[in-house]
Amino acid sequence: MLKTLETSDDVKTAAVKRLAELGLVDPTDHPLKRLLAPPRLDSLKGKRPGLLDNRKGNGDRLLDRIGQVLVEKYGTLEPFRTTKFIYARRAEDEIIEDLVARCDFVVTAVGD
Amino acid sequence: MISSRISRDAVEAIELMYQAGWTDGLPVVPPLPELVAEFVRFVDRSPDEVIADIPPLGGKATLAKVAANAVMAGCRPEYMPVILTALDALLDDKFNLGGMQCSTHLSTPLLIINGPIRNELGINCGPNVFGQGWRANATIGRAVKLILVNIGGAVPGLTDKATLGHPGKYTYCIGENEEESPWDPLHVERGFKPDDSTVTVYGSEAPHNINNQMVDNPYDLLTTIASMMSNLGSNHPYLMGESFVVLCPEHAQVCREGRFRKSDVKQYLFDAARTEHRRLKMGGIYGADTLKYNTWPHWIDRKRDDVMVPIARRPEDIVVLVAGGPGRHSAYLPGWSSRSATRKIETQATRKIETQATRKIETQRSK
Repeated sequence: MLKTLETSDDVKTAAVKRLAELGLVDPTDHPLKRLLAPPRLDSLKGKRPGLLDNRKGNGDRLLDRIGQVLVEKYGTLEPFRTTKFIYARRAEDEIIEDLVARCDFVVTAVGD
Repeated sequence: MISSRISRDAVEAIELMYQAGWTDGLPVVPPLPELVAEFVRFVDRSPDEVIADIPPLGGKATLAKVAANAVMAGCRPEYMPVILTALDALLDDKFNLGGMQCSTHLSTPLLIINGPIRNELGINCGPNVFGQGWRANATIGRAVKLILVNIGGAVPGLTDKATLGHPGKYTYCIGENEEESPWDPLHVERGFKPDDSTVTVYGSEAPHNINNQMVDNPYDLLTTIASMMSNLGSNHPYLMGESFVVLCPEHAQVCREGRFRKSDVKQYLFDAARTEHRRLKMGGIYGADTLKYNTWPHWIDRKRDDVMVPIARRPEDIVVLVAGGPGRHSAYLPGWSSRSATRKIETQATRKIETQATRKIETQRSK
């Protein structure tokens, strides 16, 4: 548990509830709660991995190793490798579209 | 007289807001619905209107939630147009807010206010301009930072991956000292009218002080400043982008007496703030492999170890402001290497600020 998380989820939930009872306006939004996770793959065997490198130091080495493990240990197809142009920005639409078209799942590494 | 019961509720709410994770670590004002409504009324828009999806997670900033954070930060209702304009500027694609918030680098948005609104709201441009003591600077800056965390989801240690961070992540808002500047202020330089009020946002490190007390000519002064700007620990020799220099009025005056225009200051700093290629190989993101720098302009000869590398692609990327009080300390604000954005605070809102602020002052006086 990170030290930055000062309160547990239970304490937090109780506090938010009590603040609502006091009639205060909630200043937060929690967009992740609105996201739906895609269905899990039954197995990685025979699937095509995508490996997205963010261009920072050592991210490529980590992905090389992950790709190797995926093929050797989990029986995936050869990974499709691609690279972001600017590490600090989200991947360009064409890169995302390429990954969607070619791959069954994607691993991204943030070298930093 | 305020009853002790109300006081206890207020204290309980403050404590609960800590537990709920709504604060920046300092106490916040409870966002009572009637206060939030007053802030929303000031800009005369629907409380449910979604102003923006705030990076990095894309939380929906409704006007009511923006107002709630402004109340919590300790703002007055008339600060709302500045906060909304700042949010608009922060969402400019070239600013890359989402990337900045998640970076391990410590930069955070700095708000720079120009135009008549500085004096209308009491935004400090003078002594201790980056420091404490002025409600408008402190709470406008703080409201924006609370919004980035509470709505945007940039939670320190989780989505906000800053290795160190800096105190400007609590609040970071200054005015330009236009009255004591020998040159056009930033907003006029960027095409706005002197009577327009604007917010400029810049992803900034903490100010780095530049002390030169005896200088009597721009050459020695700007050489001193350039020395602070060119060092191996900064992002800029590697990533270029914009960076900001804040000249104190006395240093700006030294430049003016030496017949330096603002463009001359930028040109001089662009030429002087350089580092030898071989030294740069000791630092940065890719180490010695400077061929990987797709941020460097093509005219830097990477085959030569003795070539002098600038901190920006062009002189205009060194932004010069005048701020602060008496004394001979200027500052360099290295940044994250994205680009700043400037937006005009809408005139209609500005007019409202004048009338309502005046009315409030009169009401207070009559009490």
